[in-house]
Amino acid sequence: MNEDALAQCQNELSQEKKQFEEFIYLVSHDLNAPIRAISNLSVWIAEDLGNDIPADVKQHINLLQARTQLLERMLGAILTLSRVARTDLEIGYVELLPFLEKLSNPFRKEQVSVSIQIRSVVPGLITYYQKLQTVLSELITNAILHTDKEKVNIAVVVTQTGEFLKFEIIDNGPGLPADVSERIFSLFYTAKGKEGNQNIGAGLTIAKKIANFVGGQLAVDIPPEGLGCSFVLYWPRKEPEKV
Amino acid sequence: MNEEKLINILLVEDDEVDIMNVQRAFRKNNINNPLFIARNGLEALEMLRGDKIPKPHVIILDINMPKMNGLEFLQEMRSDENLKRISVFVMTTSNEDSDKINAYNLNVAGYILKPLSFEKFISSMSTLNSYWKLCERPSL
Repeated sequence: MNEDALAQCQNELSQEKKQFEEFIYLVSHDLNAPIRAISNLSVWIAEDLGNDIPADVKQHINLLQARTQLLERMLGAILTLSRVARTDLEIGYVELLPFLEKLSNPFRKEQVSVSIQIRSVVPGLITYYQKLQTVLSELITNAILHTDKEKVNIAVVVTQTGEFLKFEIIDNGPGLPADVSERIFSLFYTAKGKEGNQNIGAGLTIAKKIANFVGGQLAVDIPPEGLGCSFVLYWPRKEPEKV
Repeated sequence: MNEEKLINILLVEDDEVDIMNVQRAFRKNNINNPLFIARNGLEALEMLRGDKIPKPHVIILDINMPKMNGLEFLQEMRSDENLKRISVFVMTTSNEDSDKINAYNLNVAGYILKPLSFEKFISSMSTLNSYWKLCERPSL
């Protein structure tokens, strides 16, 4: 293929991609209205019936509301995914140690059993700092969510390899069987069932999409059974070009 | 007895459940202000220019509607000498910056995203009601 044809193909591809993302955005946005209506109506039915209703009816209403909330959260995740290329595009200098400490503090505060250690041999970089924050927060959230220990230990280690910063997020959880290492990045894949679970299986998908968007990579290292999980994030050191 | 002035409100909204949402939130908050309803921008303009309803002090406006959408309605309203000073609150699901910019350029008093839960909606309505009560309006 000659260069002109290649350039044309790439141009068409990016047009298609843009249209696809707009489509996803519109669909998930417009679906919100009827879902909100269903959610409201079920609240009103419960209210109007009062307390004097059979247990099974009450349970069905609760299930209906829980499923509607699930649907809302799933649509919210699709919306977030469709907007990765359009939101949080501010570029700024990130001083890594304070940045990582600040990002870890809410997790430490929320659960005293969570301990996060931070090491970085790199002082900082100029980048999409909101995006970097989202990705790392999702990875820490994921480690806490899947832990099987009373005390959650997470290490965030930053090193440099060539054109990239390498962030390793290592936990002391149950680890992953090798056969799911790709699937965990699929949208709405959850290791545990969705029933009664706040997790809808979108965090890692969003994290990976952001990593790809900035020109980096996100993958999981499978350690020997019982040794926890290690996510490896390659993030470009180069300052992004302003759009 | 301290007689409160009633604030006439016009709700411009095409979704029936969203209309019920506002009515129900009014009841929950004991808001007794007269609430009139138009199902799109054209209908709202007709009501405002006719004499079937008292002139509203406040308009709650959806953006995505058939026939004439909220922003087109606003444009029309702001260029009408008799209508241009009415306070308008946009209440929509659209989280797009372009919609927010267009709305504020047309001097809306607020841009509010429709909350997902009814609980939150009740408290938003209560806040708005306190704000409406606080504001002074010309007698005509």
